[in-house]
Amino acid sequence: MKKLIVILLCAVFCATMIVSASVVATNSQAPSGTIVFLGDSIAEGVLGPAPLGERENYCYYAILGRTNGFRYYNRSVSGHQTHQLIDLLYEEDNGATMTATHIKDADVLHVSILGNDLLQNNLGETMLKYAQGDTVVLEQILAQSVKNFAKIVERLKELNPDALLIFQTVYNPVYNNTPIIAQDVLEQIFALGRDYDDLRIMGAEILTMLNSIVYDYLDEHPGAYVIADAYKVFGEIYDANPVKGQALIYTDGVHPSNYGHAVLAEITQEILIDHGFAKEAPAINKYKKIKIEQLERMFGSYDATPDTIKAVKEATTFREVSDAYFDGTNGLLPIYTKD
Amino acid sequence: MKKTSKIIALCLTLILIASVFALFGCDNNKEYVVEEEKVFYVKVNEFDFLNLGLAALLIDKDASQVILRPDGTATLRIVILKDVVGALGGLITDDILKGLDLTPLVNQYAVNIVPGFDINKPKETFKLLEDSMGLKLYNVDFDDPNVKALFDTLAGKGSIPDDFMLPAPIGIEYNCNYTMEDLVSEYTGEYTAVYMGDRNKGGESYVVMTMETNPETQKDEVFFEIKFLNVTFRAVER
Repeated sequence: MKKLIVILLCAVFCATMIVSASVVATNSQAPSGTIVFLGDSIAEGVLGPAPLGERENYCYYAILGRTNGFRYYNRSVSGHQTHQLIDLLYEEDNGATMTATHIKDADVLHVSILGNDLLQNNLGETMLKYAQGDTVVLEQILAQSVKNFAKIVERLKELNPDALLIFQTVYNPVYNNTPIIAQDVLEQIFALGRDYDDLRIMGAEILTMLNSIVYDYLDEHPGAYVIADAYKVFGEIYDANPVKGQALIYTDGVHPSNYGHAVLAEITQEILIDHGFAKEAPAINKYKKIKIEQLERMFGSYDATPDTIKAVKEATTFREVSDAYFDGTNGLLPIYTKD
Repeated sequence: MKKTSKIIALCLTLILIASVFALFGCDNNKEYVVEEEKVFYVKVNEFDFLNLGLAALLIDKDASQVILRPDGTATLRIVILKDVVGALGGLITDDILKGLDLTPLVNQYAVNIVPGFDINKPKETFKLLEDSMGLKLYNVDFDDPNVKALFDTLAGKGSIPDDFMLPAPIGIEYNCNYTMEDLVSEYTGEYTAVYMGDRNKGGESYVVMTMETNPETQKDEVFFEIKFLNVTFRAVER
């Protein structure tokens, strides 16, 4: 009888352990941390992904959230300048979006801001004056951005001093025939004897000044945050291959394209790995799954797709997965109707 | 303690530990849908678009609704008042808007938001939009001569025809799956989220509405907001 009791108890124990293990196994796929994305349209990803319905498969916020098994919240607002982000950071929760709560509870806070401080303060006029050697307007804009940026960092630290804070720099979107500057302004700049190459250099100079706000603050406050240097990486890609560099930018000349988003995800992913918030191999495997699902669903009818899927499977880094996917689908129209 | 008792005690302890471990691993948030269909009507005096106070005057308060169904599907529909549609038609024929060149909008955005966008094939193009995002034009008949004329002129000149007449009433409709979830903030309280659209594990749909019960009327209400477009509205059960 005693033996039977022992056997029964052991059986119950084993069953319980199996059930527990299965629950734990399920939950090992459950979110392993919380990341909150803040900032502007680059982060919000409404303009950028193509088709827009694939936002959750292309935008960097979703790639990072999904591949690393995070709870991820995107509270970025297209068009936001630094002063508007400050306002948002002082808003109390007023509904289920619970922005203040999520910021306070986040393990990682990721911010893309500053770009609209230039873009929405008459960028064309600013660039024209810069081309003429007049930097007064630009300096006025930057002076305000410096103050606002400091307020953003201080407020985020106040809300959540423990989170890993990441600031993404602003990339240079200027290339030949860029639509970012109005035609009449372009003509005035060209009348000064400048061409598109000069324009890209001007863009680089202005954005270096803008991004120095991020670098200078960090110099004065070591360890306050980590920089995801989109400016540097986009520049390297452009310098190595201008066609590929241009492919990082959406057709409006401002936002990141699908490929641009993939590169932005990769930049932050390296930071997350370095700080112990992500593991390289599982994330790459998840990223491959996302890309293969998209290839099968939207590009499955194209002859080249099996080779693209093979290339994605063989890739060993985020960049290789992205390159395999975007090289393989370049010029192909996605098929995404339901019948 | 006898040997059997020791084994029993050990087993019970391990079962307890395993159960606690399993419980700690559980995600407490539970998704659910409504038990009976709920229809919420947009309150026109609490509708705002681009901070234009007049926006509320355009909305049809009976036809503009949020519908949540027990099968997990939802519809969000904003319809413009019939009379306003006529006035808008007049406005569009005004010199301010006629001849408006929409080509850059098409080339920079439409072809990317909806790859395959072809202004010569509006019916097929809007099917792409509906299939990929659940968005459709409400009450727009693509076989209507006026609508055909609109798209023909858009395709040809990139502008709106001088004598364009808007069909009435028209609107925009979003059809999607939805889930609800009770959320707790340790700082500010409890909220009921209505996630309009599919969401990936750990993520959210783009549209997250808040549902609450009005303490005075005891009717449920939903609050909708898209900061990017400055769109907010409240819709209430009747």
